Amino acid sequence: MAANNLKWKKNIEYYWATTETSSWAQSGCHKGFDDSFGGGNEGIVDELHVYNTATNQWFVPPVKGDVPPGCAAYGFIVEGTRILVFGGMIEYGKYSNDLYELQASRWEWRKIKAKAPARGPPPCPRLGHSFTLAENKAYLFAGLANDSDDPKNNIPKYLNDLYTLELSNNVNNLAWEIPDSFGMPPPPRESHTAVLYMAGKTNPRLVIYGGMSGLRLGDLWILDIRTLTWERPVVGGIAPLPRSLHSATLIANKMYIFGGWVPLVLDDQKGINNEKSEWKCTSSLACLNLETMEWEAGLGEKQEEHVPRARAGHCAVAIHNRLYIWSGRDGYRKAWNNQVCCKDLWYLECCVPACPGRVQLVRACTTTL
Amino acid sequence: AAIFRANRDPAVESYIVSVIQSDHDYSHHWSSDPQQKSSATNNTPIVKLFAPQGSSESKFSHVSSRDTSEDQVLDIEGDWDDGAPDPPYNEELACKLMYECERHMDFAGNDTAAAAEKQASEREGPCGAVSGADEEEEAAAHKPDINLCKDKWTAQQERVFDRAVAILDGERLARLACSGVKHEPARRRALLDRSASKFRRLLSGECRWEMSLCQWLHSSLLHSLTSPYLIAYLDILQSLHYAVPTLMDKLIAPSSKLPSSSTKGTTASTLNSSSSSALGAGFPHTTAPAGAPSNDDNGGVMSSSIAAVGLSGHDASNGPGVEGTSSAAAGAGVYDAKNNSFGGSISSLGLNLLLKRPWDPAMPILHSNKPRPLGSDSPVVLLVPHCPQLCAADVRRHKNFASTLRRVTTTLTITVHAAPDGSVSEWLERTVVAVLTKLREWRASLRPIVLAGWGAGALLAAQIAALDSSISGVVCLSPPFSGPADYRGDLSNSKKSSDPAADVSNSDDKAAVFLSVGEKRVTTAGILSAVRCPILLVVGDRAQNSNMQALEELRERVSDARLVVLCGADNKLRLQHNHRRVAALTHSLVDRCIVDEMATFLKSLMPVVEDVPAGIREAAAAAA
Repeated sequence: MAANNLKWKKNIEYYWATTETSSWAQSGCHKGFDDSFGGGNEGIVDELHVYNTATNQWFVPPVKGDVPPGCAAYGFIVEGTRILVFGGMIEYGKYSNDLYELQASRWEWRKIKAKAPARGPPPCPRLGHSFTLAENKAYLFAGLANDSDDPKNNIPKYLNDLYTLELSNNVNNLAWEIPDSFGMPPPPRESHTAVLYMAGKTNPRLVIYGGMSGLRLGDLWILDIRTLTWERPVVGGIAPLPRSLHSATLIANKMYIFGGWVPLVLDDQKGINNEKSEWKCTSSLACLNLETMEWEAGLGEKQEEHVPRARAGHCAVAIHNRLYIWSGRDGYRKAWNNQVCCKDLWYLECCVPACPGRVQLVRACTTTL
Repeated sequence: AAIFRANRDPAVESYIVSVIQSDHDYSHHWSSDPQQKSSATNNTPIVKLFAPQGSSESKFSHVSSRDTSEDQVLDIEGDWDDGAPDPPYNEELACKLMYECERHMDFAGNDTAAAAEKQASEREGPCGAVSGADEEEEAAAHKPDINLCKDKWTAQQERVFDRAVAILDGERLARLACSGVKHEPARRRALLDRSASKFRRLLSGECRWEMSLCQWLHSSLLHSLTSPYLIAYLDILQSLHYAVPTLMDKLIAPSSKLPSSSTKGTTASTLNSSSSSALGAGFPHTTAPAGAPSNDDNGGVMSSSIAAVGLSGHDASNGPGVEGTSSAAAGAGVYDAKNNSFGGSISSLGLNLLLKRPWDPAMPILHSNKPRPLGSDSPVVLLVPHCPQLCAADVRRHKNFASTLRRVTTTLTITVHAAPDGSVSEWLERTVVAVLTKLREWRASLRPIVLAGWGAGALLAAQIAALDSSISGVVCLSPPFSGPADYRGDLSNSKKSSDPAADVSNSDDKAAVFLSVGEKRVTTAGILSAVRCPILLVVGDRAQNSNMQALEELRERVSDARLVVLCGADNKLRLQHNHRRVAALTHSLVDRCIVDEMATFLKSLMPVVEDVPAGIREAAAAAA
């Protein structure tokens, strides 16, 4: 299927076991499950919701252990059957730097005390960072910290530090590291995205895109995991609007960027990204081919009926070739002091589905009967 | 790792903080009750409309729903320029409407206003003095002046006149204060509504709608007011005419229509010429009979008690509009020839037309910006009535509401006339039959059918929906959670009152009470939780007959109940003056927002056109 006739599909077959809406509920997947935890719109939520894409059902597993406090804008990685959560906003102006582990087989939470790095302090409390798994190591990059101790007095501090966490060790022996990186690191930011891209079979790269540092960013940075070298690639094609709080998902060798806050481009072109710009949420989808390093054309903002509405802070996850979008918020009705929290789930079929196996066919036939 | 400070410029920093606040605005949970947090609810979040900016509820908390004190000190030092969003209306057109009265006055200014001014200045009356004075003097000059031949007045006349002048004075000051500020038209509209309701309270409370006294007040005001005050007075008359047309018609164009049963005609007529020497020993108020209830717009249910009229002054512009109890025996010859020239001057100037409809700053934009239709397979909305006969202001509002809704989707208004014996139960039976008949008619169309209703009509709609499974949705606009007899919001505590209809004074509530009598589920919550289809609840957070806590508990049990809360709205979903002023809204805009929310709800009920399930498609792809 050519990239420019990708069609959104609203997942209406779902059965809402629960519809606690949340924004910036991060999600990951394991064995066809799409997990989302926490997030906040009308408050910060500390519930874990799991969506089974095979049966299209949500459920709320009974969790036990050290259930973390509700948080929003945190980092989230899935490794096998365990889920690691780091940082996030606990309440306004108060951020966390705690690391939690959830064993999805037992639905048991556990707070992990990771050791401080050999040199330097442990990562400071933050939100809007990226937390990515690459070859048994978690890469924590950038985010937003509060420079004051008083949560009410918010002194924003954008970060661009990089930490790694070796996960193959015993859980009790986890330790942060500050790796030596080379090249010019990306400028500080938060609410950016990071995806892991395997160039070739053995060359993992961390692709950082967008974010916010007082203004919305649209730049692309690549960290070569092997050499820990930052690189700013030359990207061809028509770049989408700079954005933050978007989602980036890697499917095959394409990175799909959806939604987020983008600058409001006025007709008189005051120039985007000047101070005190106006922002809006978008429903546009962009696609970067990481092999050719080119933005795919024809994925602009389409005024169609069957497109997810504009949103930011949603979560996106790839399951097989499908891109699932869940939740998010739209600040477009700011005039009424009312942000709309979306509680819909969409998926985008990004490739022609693979041939179904025999079992799948039999199952499909029996369910239609 | 290098750590940067974002920016050290305080202005930029505060801007960044505000952006972060809006980006990461994960505010508190609406049901942040720690006990309830564990339960996974299937509630959709509350949609809050017109929430005050800065979300400080306390901003309005000091404003009582009805300030009974008649002091003319208006809150004009409020924060005018912050808070309200950009007006959704066309400011220029709205201003044009706003100055309609003034333009008419200017047009007619050569004769009436000048005459009035001349007269006033001749008498050196209080209003005459303020004509050319600046604001400060105006503020000081509203004290009653004895020179205005007041020695000939009765104490009551004097009191009424002083209060009327005080109201006009307050209105004038408020006008000056809000002139030129942002959202002037909407704010002036809200202030004007407040003055109008004060004036109505004066007419209904102090004057008790004693027509002779009211007409005397009207003519005296026309005589003595100077042009800016006259404009304010006309604006007030216009607003009141919208709310109580019959009474205002009597007030403005009196003599011939009134039954000439008064024996005090001559006395009354002498009273009204301010230069007259004969005086009100026999003033009609003291001698005229209180009058039998003659004109009852509320379906023959309202009593004619004067107290009830007093209550009706609550909100002039859109009030319950109880117009009854005018004194049938009001003086016939109230207006002498001289006063008729003034009464006549109003009609001759075409002001009669002007008085017929109050200006609304949002009208032009609402006309040019109609809601989008949902399409041919959109749900059919049946509007269930909530009382046999509405008052005039409500009729207009409901008509407008229905016509706006008709643009969105097919809307059927069900009208059921009152039973001949006036019994509510009879009427309710007829209504249910009428709704069921319509349902049968429309079931064949295969379109989803949605029942909607206001107040008690909402309960009726919900109860019908609970019985009839073919209904796809219910829209409850301000369903009452408490009746006059008891509180009916609690699911567990469903005590029946012995005779609920006994102390019912309002037909709305009577219907609601009837619904509960003899039924197993007597509570509003019980009725609503029996509904199996999606419900949209629209309530005002200032409604006296609803309870947010009960609503939230209810929503836990109901399968799909969406809740829209209008901040600052009462139990008829009318925003209070102060909310409207601060948010720069008008009633028409509020109603439009309700329709928009309904449209969103209706859209969610429409079947989504979906192609074959994924499994079959995959199978088909494999076969190919």
